This record gives sequence, C-alpha cells and structure tokens, in this order.
Amino acid sequence: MSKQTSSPSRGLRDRVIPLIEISVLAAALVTPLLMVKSPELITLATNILILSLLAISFDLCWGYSGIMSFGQALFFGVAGYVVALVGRDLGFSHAWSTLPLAMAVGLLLSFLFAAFLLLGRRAPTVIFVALGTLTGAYAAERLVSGWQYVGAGNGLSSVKLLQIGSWELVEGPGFYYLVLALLITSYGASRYLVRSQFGLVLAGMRQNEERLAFFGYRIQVFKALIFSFAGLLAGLGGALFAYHQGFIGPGSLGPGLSTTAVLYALFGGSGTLIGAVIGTALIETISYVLADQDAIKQYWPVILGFVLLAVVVFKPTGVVGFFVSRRERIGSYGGRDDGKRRR
Amino acid sequence: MSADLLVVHDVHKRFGTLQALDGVDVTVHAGTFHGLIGPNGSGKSTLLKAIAGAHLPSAGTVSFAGRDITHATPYERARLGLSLKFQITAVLNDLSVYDNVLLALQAGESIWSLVRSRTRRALRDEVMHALERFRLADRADKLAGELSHGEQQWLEIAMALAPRPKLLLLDEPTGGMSPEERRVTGELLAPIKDSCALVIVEHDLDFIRDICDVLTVLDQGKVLDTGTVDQIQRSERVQQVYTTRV
Amino acid sequence: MSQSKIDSPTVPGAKRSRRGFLFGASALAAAGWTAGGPGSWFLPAAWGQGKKAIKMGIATDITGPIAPSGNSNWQVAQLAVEQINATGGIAGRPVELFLEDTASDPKAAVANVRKLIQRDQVDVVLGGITSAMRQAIKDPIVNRGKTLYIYPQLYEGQECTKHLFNTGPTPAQQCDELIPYLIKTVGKKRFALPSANYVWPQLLNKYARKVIQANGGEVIFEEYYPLDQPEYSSTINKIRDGKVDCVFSTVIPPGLQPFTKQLYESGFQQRGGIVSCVYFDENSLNYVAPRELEGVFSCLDFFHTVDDPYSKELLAAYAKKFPDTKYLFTAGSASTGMYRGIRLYEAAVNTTKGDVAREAVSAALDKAKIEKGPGGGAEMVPGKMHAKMNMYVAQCRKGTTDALRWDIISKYPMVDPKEC
Repeated sequence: MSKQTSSPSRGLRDRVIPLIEISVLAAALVTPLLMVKSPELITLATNILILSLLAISFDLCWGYSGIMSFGQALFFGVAGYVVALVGRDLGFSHAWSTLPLAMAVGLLLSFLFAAFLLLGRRAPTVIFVALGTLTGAYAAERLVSGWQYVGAGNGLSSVKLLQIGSWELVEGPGFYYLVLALLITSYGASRYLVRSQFGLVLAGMRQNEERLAFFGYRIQVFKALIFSFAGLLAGLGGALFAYHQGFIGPGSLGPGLSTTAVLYALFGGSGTLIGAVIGTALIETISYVLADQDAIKQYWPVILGFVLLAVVVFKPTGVVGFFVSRRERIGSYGGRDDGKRRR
Repeated sequence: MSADLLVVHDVHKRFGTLQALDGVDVTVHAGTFHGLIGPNGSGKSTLLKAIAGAHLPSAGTVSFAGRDITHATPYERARLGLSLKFQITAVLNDLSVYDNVLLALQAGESIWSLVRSRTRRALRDEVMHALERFRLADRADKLAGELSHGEQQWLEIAMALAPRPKLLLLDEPTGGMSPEERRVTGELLAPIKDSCALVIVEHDLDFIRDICDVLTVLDQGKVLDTGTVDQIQRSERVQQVYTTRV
Repeated sequence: MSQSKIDSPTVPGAKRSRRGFLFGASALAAAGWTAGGPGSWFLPAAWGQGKKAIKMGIATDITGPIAPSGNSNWQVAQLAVEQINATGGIAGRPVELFLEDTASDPKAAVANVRKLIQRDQVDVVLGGITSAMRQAIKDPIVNRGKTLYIYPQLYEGQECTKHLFNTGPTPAQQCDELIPYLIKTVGKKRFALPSANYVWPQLLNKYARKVIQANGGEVIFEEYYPLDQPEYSSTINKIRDGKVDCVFSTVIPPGLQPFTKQLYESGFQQRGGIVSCVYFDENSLNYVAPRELEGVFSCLDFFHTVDDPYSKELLAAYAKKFPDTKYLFTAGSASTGMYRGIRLYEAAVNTTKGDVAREAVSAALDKAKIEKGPGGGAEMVPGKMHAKMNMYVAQCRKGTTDALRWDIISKYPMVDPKEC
C-alpha cells in the first residue's frame, strides 16, 4: 500500500460532513424536548422532517445523478393521495402496510417516468428530463384538480389518522419521533447508496457521462434506479405528510412543491444529503416566522425566488458549501482510508 | 496469434458534404500494435471513433472478435473487450486517482454488487497494481485533476487497460507530453502486447515507429497504404503525401 | 396566514398580546377595519383583571375569492365579541378573539387552523364558509384538535359530526316555506334547476326536488355547469322549450353573471317567468345587474328589511363600528350564522358557569337558546347539531326611490332544520 501523502489539514477538512450530520441528528433528537409547551412548533418540526424526505429525494436525483427533476412532488403527492384514499374508502391506515404501499407507489410511478424519460435508445438531455418531469407534475395537478373522486380542487381532508397497532398518531412528539426514525433510516440508506461503489459510478457520471459509457456502464440504468429509489423516498414522505397534515390537495403533487424541493436542496447544498435536510429546515423555519409578518409575507415567495437565484449564482454549493470542501463533497470511494471505513 | 481481432470493411462516413471516410478497410490482428497515421483531416480520428462507437458509419461494417459491432452501443463494445482512450484527456478530475481506476475496473460488475460494494476491497490490489504499472501509485489519493498532463495521460491509459480489454484504442496518447514522457509512455505500453492489441492515432512519427508493428496510412478518407513500419517508410506513395502536404 | 388577536391588554400574557396586537393591526386594515388608534377596540384596562379569558378562534377567508364573505364574518365576530365584553363577558370572563386566515384555500387553511388549536389553544373555533373549507378544517379542529367547532354558513346539510354545531340555514329551512309559496301562492309549477357543479347545489336540489314534487310542482330539468361557464344558450333554450315558469338557480359567481344576463335577455322574466335563488341577499347587487335582480325570490334567515327591533339595532351598531365598509352584514355571507354562533356559545358557557371544557360546552350548546339575533332568536335542536331560526321569504323589488330592496313577504318563525 502506498504511503499517506495527504496533509493532516486536508484530512480534517474532509471530515466535516459527519460532524454536521451528528450535530443535526443531536438537534433533531432534542428538539421536541425543548418544545413541550409549544405543540405548534413540534408540528412545524415534524413537517420539516417530512419535507426533508422530499428534499433528499430531489438531491439524490440532481445532486448525485444529474437528473433535474421537477416532478419529485408528483411521487410525494400521489402516494399521499393513495394513503388518504385507502383511509377513506377502506378505513385502513395501519403503518405497517400503508407506508410500504406509499413507498411502492412512489417507486413504481417514478420507475414509469424513468422508463419513459431515461431509458430511451438515446441519452436524454437535462432539459428534456426537466421538462418531462415538470409536465408530468403539472398534468397530474390539473388532472387531480378536476377529479371529483379525489376531492377535485379541494383535495382530501380528514385523512384517517395513522395507526400503529391500536395507537393512533396525531401531531405531537410521538409522530415526530416516528418520522425521525424513518428519516434516519432513509437517510442512512441513501448515504450507504451514494457512498457505495454504485455511488462511485454516480460520481463519475456527474463529471463525464460519455466516458462512463465507454467504460461499459449503462448509465441510463443507473439513473433510472436512483430515480426510482428517490421516488420511493418521496412516496414515503407523501404518505407521512398526508397523515400528519390530515390533508392532501392538488398543490401537493404539482410543480409548486416540486420547485420548493429544488429550493430546499440547492439552498442547503446539493450533493451532500445533509444539505437537503438543512435547507428544508432553514427555509421552512424562516417561512413560518415570516408568515406572521404581514408586511413581508406577501413578498416571501419573491424573496425566496431571489434567494435561490443568489445561491445558484454566488454559492452553488449552498449553505453547507461554507463548511464542506469540494473534495469532501465528492468524497472518496476507496484507497486511503479504505481500511478504516466499514462500508 | 494472428487471428483477425478487428475487421473494418468498406466503412464510409459522411458529415454533410464532407466525405470523412471513403471505403476504408483495416484489419487489426491480436497482439499487434497498429498505428493509424496521415495528415490532418485524413480521417484517422474519425475511423477511430467509428470503431469505438462514438460515430456510427454511414456505410460499411466493423466487426470485433467475430461479432458485427457496427451499430453496437459503447456499453456493448466495452463488454466485448474494446477499450478506448480519448484524444482529450477524460480522466474524472474531481475523483481521486485511485477512484478513477476503481471506476474503470468495476465496470463489469452487476449493479447489485456495486450497491453492496462487494468488490471495494477485493479490487484494491488490482487498482494499486495498475497504478504502480503506470508510476502513479504514490499519487493514488490525489485528485486526478491535480496530476500533470502526462500523468493524466498515463492514468487514462491505466484506466483504459484496467478492464483487461482485447483491443485498446488510443487517440493521440502522447499529445502535449515532453520527450521524456513520450519515452516513458512507450516503455509503459510495451508490456501489454501479450494481452492486448492497440490501435493508435498519433502525430509523433518517432513514437509510432518505436512501438508499432503495423501502420495504416490514411489520406482524404482513403487507405493509402498498409504494412510494417519498414514497408511504410519505404512506400513512395506515403513519402509523396508526407512531403507535399505535411 | 395572518394571525391577529384582539384582547384585553390586561389579560395575563400581555407580551404575546402586544405582539398579536401589532401584527393584528395590518390584518385588520386588510379586513377593511378603519377603527381608531391603538387600543381603541379593546375594553377598558380596568376590566377583566385576574380573570382567565375565553379564547375564541375565528378561521375565515380573509383573502382569496371568498374574502368578501370572510371579511364580513370577521367584522361581525368582532362586533359580537365587543358586545359581549361590554356587558361583562361570558360568566364573568372576557373573550379574546383570535383570527386565522383560511385564505379560500384548504391547504393553507389546515395549517393555519392548526395554529389556532396548537399555538393559541382556543376554546372554540368559528368559521369556514364553503363546504370544502368546512370539510378541510373540521378534522384539525374536532378530531385532531379536540376542540369545539361552529360552522355558520347556509349549506347543503348532512353534517352531523359530534362537537360540530351548525348555525346557518339548512335546505329544509330554505325550501320548506319558499317552494310551497312559489307553487301555491305565486302559481308557478314548472321548475328548472340550473346549478353550479359542486356539493351544495347537488344536495340542495335533491331536497328541493322532493319539496317541489310533494307540492304538485314538476322539475323540467336539473343541470350542472362548471363554476366559470360563460355561455348558457342551450340552457336558455331548454327553459323556453320546456315552458319553465320558475328558475330555481344555484349558479354561483363567476358563472352567475353571464347566466342571469343571458336569462334576462332571453325575455324569460317579461314572459312572466320568475327566478328564485336562495343565497341572494343585499350583497347580490354587487354581482347582478338591477334589472336582472328585480323580482327574484329568496328565502333566508335575515334581510335588512326584517321588522325586528334588535336586528335594526345590530345593523346600526355594525354600521357605527364599520362605517363605509364594503362588507355587509348579510345572511348569504354566513355573517348571521357567525353572530348567532357566538351568541349561542355565550349562552352555553353561561350555562356551564364559565367552564369551557369541550364536553361541558357541547352538552350545554346542544340545548342553547338565544332570544335575540339577526332576524330574531334561535335555538339548537337538542341532539341535532343544527338550529331552529326564523326564516323569511322575500322578493327583490323597487322601493319608493327606485333602489332595489328585499321586501319581506312572510316570516316563518322557528323553522325546523330537519337534519341529523
């Protein structure tokens, strides 16, 4: 084996992400304890965790695979509608089967999109995929808005409460920790995937798709797989969202929420996973605070738009980019600390 | 060992009004280093790309190891044992040198195995071996983008050879190298002849002469002459083209 | 989105009150409130000291397409609470008012109503105008929020959820007197039911059809249109060809304007046909041209022309509190149901002697009764979640000054809601 040649300073700099991850996890674990007296803040925090799933889902697509998806909310929303309908029409809302159902819905739907958009004979351009997903989300929103069976423009309200055994979950610390557990699992699985040899292929693909093809990788298959996995996470998020809000409407599967997911990930820092979570938390918290400020709330969407523009232009690596080096963001997949790394 | 590994038969390629390749026939035997030379615009890079699958020929066939690969995808060609190094270095700058080679080496594995990182450790020796062979072992942790130009070329050759191809296509391997680096490149390539044939496009005739067994000379999309290095050096037709046009 | 609150500044938690007050000011301005300087809408500082306030949440559409109705609801709520506080509160406790904008959008509403429940921890929520809004917010209030909910708007009926009290008129209350009157007194028998395509017209028509047939009338056709349909010539033709003599319309804006215009221009009214529309009130002049409105029959729980001293007092107080407001105190906008709801809640909590626990108030509200209100008193029908109230059949006519007014044709005291 070769000798370690990298300087210690780089070694330190390359381990910022785990520090951030541990800090965020610690914050997430204690948050409800600090909010015992303010249930509405626990609701907000739970919302943030749920939307983080959507943001991670987008980050897997764009940050790791170069798929500009403006349709993540579609998988999110459709899964939410499905569990809401299962609750309404079948009177069933047990977590052990509705959450997997929602994940399957997200997976299947995104796989269909992938098959259509990504698995053609010719490799699609980023713009083609972006427009394809955007169109899908838009069409779905219009379709649902006019469909009486799913509540048309008013959406589905009074979604049956999520059940685990005989326990019905309303908003509160219980729901929060359930979502947190699912988020940690999803995050762990995503992290495992993007740090695996599979992830190395994604990393290579982001830099030079053509080169990877000449190595013998069917890159569209890799993209389709990651897109489907992202759809699965979005589906899980959508189901939790519907159960938590007690409501799901056409706005939850359209381009609006899809774009918000883009914003979360880009603002926090795409291609890091944790950036997506941080972006969601920041944007949702600021939105929550500003929503009560009548003077500002009108302009909030506009401000958000400018923030995104500023991020894209001046700090494409997002908030996390202030702390994490480019080297660490891309990461190493073997070599140097192979021996120390468990996976 | 003189089986026909690659047979290019009557290949045409037209870009608009430009006839880049006009009925080219080339046969590459296993275990030989085959140089493609010719003046600028003679079609050698286009021919290489047609073999690699970057361009599809307008007419004619390309077969490799007995299979017609004229219209095969890059992925299919790679799986058959055809490897390629681009003219412009295409190492993955943001990945470590080690990861570049690992990426090339693991290309043959199933996706499930990649997801589970099953060969991450098993491939380590092979990666390091490939790096050592191209004098890059002590650069393993550097980003590929931090290497010198010559080192990047070697890395790319190392990557191209990593999946143990039967035929390696090299487009301008010594472009931008110092004379010393060219010499080393020649040395580094020589030992692979046992396992792998080469098709090289190269301007540096000295380099070509040093390492190639067979040369094909192209001019205006047609084959001017094919033969051993000695034969070509004596070929009057070739002399004529090179003295009048180059 | 906007959250406002009116309370007595001396109530414990003054810090939050201050915040609520400051942010509230602009929301109030948005709601058309032009009342005086800071504090002028609060009670004297001496009042309510040491008493725990009753928190009343109003969730209504301050913004969006339903905003005109939502703002009148909010203003009426302020008036009612001011009156209650001015006479010593409920069982000696002052009432704090919290507002959340449901923004005519169920998604925003669910999130905002949750703030009333979780952050403000209100004791009761009143509001919601459209049925879709009621459907969206009742779950966060009643089920998840374990809070009492009062829905004030006239609606299609069939809402029989525990702890959800309805204080607006039901189809029975709007049809049981009006339709027999149209058939037997006005003498129209051939009905057309043109409607906007959503749940209220569908269920209202179902009930109306029964009443029409029971009284010897006939439904020539019943049709549903997209809410924004601009063109009705085939409907007009059917009305003419079917010799319809009474159009019982539940078309709503924005489809309403072209419909009434095209119907009028077809000469239906000149040929002796009549139009009836049970949500038309004093506000309708804002939507419909006078010539098209003249002669229309409506049936509601309140008109400005109702001959009732307390109703007149109320209108005067409202006009004084909100001079020049464009949001009228009318029945069609759920304002009467809002006032009635707040007063019924007051009556219930007086019965419980100030206990605002949901079970206790629900039990009291189930039998609650008020003597006075817009259009007269009202009483809950025990076990039925709906209220008996006076209903008035009225026709829009030209008064002495050529201005249109709703002439009360007859009053029906304490009509049964016939729900649940």
